[in-house]
Amino acid sequence: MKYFLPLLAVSCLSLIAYFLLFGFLVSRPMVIDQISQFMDKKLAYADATGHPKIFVVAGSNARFSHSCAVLEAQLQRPCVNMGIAADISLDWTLEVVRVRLAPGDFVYLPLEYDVYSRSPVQLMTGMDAAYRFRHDKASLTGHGTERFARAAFMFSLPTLVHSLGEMSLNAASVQRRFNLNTLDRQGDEIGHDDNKAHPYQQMIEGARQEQPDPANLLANPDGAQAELGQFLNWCRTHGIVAAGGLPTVFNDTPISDRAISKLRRFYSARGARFIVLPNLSQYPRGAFYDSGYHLREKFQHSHSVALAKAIRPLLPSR
Amino acid sequence: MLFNSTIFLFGFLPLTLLLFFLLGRLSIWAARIWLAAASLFFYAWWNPPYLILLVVSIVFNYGAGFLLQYPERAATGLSRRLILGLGLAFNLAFLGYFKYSAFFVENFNAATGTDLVVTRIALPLAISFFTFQKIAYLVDSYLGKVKENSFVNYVLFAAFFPQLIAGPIVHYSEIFPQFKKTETYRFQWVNFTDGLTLFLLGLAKKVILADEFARYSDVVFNHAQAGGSITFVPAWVGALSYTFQLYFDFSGYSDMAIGLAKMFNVELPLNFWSPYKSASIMEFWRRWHMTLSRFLRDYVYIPLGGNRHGEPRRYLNLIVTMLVGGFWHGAGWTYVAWGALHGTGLALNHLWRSLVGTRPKPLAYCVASHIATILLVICGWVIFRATSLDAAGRIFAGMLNHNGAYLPDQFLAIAPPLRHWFTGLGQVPYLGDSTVMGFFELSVMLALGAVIVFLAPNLYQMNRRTRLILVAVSFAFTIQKIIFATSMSPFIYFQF
Repeated sequence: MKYFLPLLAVSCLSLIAYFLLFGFLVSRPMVIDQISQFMDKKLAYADATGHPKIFVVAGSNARFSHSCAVLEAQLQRPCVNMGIAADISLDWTLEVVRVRLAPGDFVYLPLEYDVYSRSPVQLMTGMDAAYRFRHDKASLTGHGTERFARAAFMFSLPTLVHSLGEMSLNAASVQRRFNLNTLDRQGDEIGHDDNKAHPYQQMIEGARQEQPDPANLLANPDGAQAELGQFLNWCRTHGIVAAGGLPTVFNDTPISDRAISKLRRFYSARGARFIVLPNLSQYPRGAFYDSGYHLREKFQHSHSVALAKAIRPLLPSR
Repeated sequence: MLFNSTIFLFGFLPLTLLLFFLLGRLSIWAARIWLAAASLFFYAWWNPPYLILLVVSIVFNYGAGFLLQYPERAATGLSRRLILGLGLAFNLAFLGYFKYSAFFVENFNAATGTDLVVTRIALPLAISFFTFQKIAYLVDSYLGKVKENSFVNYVLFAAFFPQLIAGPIVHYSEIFPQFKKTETYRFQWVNFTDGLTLFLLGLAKKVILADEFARYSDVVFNHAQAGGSITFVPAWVGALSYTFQLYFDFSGYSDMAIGLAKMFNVELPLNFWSPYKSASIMEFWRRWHMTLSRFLRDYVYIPLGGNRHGEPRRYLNLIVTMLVGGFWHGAGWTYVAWGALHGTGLALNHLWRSLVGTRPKPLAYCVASHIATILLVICGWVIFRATSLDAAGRIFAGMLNHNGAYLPDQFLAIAPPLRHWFTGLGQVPYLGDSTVMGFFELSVMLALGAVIVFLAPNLYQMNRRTRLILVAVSFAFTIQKIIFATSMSPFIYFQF
């Protein structure tokens, strides 16, 4: 037993050190902590504007490929772009949007295709969980022990490497290429023009087209699908118009009719609309910035103009 | 059942240990039967019908071994040599049918233009390992090194779960005498603790290091497999990552196997001894997968004649032995090419040593030897990992800078002299998630891997205190991976 007790002790010590390290000491100021800065800016605009308004909810596809500034100008009502990153749990985003909605508001959801199949565990371990475990533990404690435990144990050795790297860069005042200055007041990403896109073109040429697999799309009824379903039902019963939409992707291969029908049925069954633009939100590779979901700024604007035309007839009258 | 699965860690292992030592207080035989049954259950968990194959192999080899050990009691009238020949033929045919038949038919079709039907058979888990172990048992029986007439004892030797799936490849004579000692059946805290420590550190190697290196190498090798071209940095990152991945994966597995056996008071032979610190290919094979090297030496190289028929024949024997070793790993031309590379390397190494002698060399020579050895080993792993020789060729083309050398723009901004050799890109495809921080992450991880494999002592050179410090550093990350990570990857050598 005298041999075993030290092993038991160091194992416990290891767990304690892990909690202290990731719960209180290290952080990822340039990626994870940025989430709250972005969210605060977007919510500040939402709280400062009146109803009826528009919310665009998705991951980074919303932020880069949709312009609330354009929608606002076209549709004459405030618009908040809630997009930050697809790895942020959808339920968290929906939760903060829900408390800011009022009858007559409009929610547009051009969710990235893989978001629909996120499992409950994936929702518990999104980027926001890492942020909340480090800086806002109270927001996790109300969601059950599993959620807290999963958030506490989502840090691997590479996470530690990233943390140390980001903290060093932050201490040296290095700015990430995306920061609060590249968001407009509505929360849209701005400034991702042709010049900035140039270094990523080779990567864009070789990138895979995001393509929903009709067989697996919406195959998992739990997780994101359940959360989204509940949100849409809530919108229906609270006088809010919600509409799904297609995220912007390369136009190598058209998105299949089967996938679109499946999505349309999902939204319709919950009293929501589904917007399909004539181009299926698909653009040539040259229209993209640094990933298959991120349009360059000028295409972000033209896409938003086209979207405004489709949204206008669906807007509740004032 | 994977050693890194929760069902194994929190169900199978504690229950098996508990009942083994409880039964051991009552009856050694009951404990042996329990451990043998538990080992068969462990194997059956993966694919129950294939337990039949393992049992058939065990029954046949037990019978053949019995005939070889006790010809007077069996009175078959068959010569021992014939029995040995039949036994070896059975084992090789068994392995050949399940592992190599599709490969032979495909290549026969390709060579002759015929259209024979290729039947793809799911490879029974660990077939290469348990077949080699049984071949060794038969040969040792023939040579009079083994005397065993208990079927239960033989089953326990053949199926002992810590080493059943991926070795170490053991001889009967080094395992079973331990099961004959009564103290083996008495729980011993010191062995349990040392075994658990080794197991935890082996598990850490697998889930904290090997699985992370797999992320970096898989993306590169998968792209090469899809026909894409690979640039300089991703090619080297892929090759180095796989070099580290394979070592941490397989040596981690071996540490876990040795640790598990030690919890049962059984010592398994070592399988790794810091192989990447080798200064020659000869030394590498004395340090890498040591029990396979021993098998190939004793049951292939020496029967071929070893070094008894002059130098040219010795070189040929080395190449043939390593071709067998390569082909043992898998039915594919990449494994044959890998074996040929190492066989040729070993032959050249012997030739070189006969030319330059064995006297001490200057430091520069030693450094050059280490570098040449690790380069050959890395090139070998590229061939070993690639799914085809074409894919391996694409990785080599990248490593030789045939497709350009790119680094992230932001990285070059802080290291401008590198612009002489590298072109800046916003995101370099197939390199650290194509992000700058991803590149930083893999650079740190590769540096960490290099420090561990090239500079640090191995677990068996460390004292208890140092091992405990390593447990303190790694335990929480290991728990994070085995309980909370969403996916779990099998050990690389499970496929063999």
